[in-house]
Amino acid sequence: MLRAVLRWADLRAALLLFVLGVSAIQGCPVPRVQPHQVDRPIGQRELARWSRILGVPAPELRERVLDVSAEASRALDTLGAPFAPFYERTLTTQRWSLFPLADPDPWWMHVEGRRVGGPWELLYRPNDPQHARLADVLEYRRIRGTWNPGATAPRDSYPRFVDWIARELLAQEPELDEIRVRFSRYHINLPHEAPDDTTSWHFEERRRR
Amino acid sequence: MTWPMTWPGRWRTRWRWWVSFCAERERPTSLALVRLGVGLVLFADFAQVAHLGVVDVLWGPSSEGGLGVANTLPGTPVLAHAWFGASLATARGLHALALVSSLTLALGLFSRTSALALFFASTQLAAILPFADRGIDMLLRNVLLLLACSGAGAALSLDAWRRHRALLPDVTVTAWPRRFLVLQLVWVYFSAGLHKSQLTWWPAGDFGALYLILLDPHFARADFSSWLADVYPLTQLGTAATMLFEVGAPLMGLSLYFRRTAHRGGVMRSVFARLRVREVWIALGVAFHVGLVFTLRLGIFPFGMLALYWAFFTPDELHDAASRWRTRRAMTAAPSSSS
Repeated sequence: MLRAVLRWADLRAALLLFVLGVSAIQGCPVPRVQPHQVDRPIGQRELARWSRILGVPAPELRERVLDVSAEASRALDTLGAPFAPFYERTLTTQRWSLFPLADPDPWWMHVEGRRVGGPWELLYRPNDPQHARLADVLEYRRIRGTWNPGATAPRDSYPRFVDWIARELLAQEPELDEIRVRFSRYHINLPHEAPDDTTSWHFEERRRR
Repeated sequence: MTWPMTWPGRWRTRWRWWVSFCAERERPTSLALVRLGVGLVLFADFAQVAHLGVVDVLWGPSSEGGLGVANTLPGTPVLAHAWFGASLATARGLHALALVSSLTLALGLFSRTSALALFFASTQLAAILPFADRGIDMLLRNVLLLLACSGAGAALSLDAWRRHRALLPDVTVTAWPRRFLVLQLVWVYFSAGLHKSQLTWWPAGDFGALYLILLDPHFARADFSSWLADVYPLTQLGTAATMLFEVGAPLMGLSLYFRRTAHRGGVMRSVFARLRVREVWIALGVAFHVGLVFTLRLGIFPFGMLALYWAFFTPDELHDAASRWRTRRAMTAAPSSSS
């Protein structure tokens, strides 16, 4: 009995050590930098800053970062390959990022509707109490995850999100004929920076009744 | 003359230490509070989904207007779809399973089964629509696995009442799940700090990150643009404190090790004890998450994280604190009862 207890204690300790080891491999903070991430505006700004700090020309730094990232990622993926199915099936991870990027060029969603031949009326945009149709639903974290764009493009679920929000609004507002969803993008200046009031519109999608 | 320990002997000693560390036991109070908090947070979240009427649109099949396309992928990655078919009934069933099991987890009714059922429901819902699954959901799935392997249902639970007719029975459970949870939390924060490579999180970027985030209309709780520039230095301080908290997380781990080995003495141990590193770090964490509640719209994230903070306190600490509070209450009440 005592020997069985002692053997279980050793087995448990071995299993726990194994779990720690696998977690350490999966969570190893190897940079996984993709070319499109470096080439987008925020990536270019970061590259320029690091180039100044390190005294390395930006194109050379870009190539070095991508090469090191690719090599390190390949090595870690090879090491972690036997355990990858567990993480894929359970959708768990040990790589954590909480607001890794503070975007100085945020998106701002606008949901608008119009009657036949009429002008567009703003129905909803975040942080605008005057235009807050369906705010409680749209701002719920899981729904927001489907429409909040990534750094350069909307989520794959975005077209179906527009289908759904258009259905909801057209059902609630019989006089509306068309719904439009689009995102403005503008620059946030830090207090000591020169103002930049450039605004642009992106990802416009329309749905008619 | 003592012979130096041989290499195999040294590793045998270390192995025996690890085996006894994994076998140590403690009262289940801290884990029970984690169980209660995690169950309540997830129950509130799944109840909110039902209240908003978005179960079908989040997790229904694309053919029924759902936002995900998992049901259209060859060799579906969703086990529930393979077993029960991709339908609104499956989506509602998974949501109901998540809702009920989070409640039974909080109540401590068949705690291990509840944790595993909730884990299964959570993974399936995440597989149906990955964009609706956030970091806090992944972290809480890890925690659910730990809770399922632990004695978290042995106190403050219906399970404890059924077995012992007491909410805080005199029982012990293995301590390693709570310690693994501490390690998990320290790693979450440290990993998050390491991933903050963008220079606005650092002095080279003027510590401007928090200022930018508070002006992001998709996340900010209100429009702070009219006055935030006037308190820019405060946001810089907040950014620096965030980095100190996250990148400094291993110091928290070290302080716990020093507390456990306090008998060995030494300069580092006394410095850590004098600076109260553990208490300061936990206080920073609580302030960080409470600040998030009032400034950003992050859903259950700050509440889910705070629910895990009970793991930082040993059950003996919690019981001692409760005893001191009861004694203070009794002393405060005593003069009026004797007059």
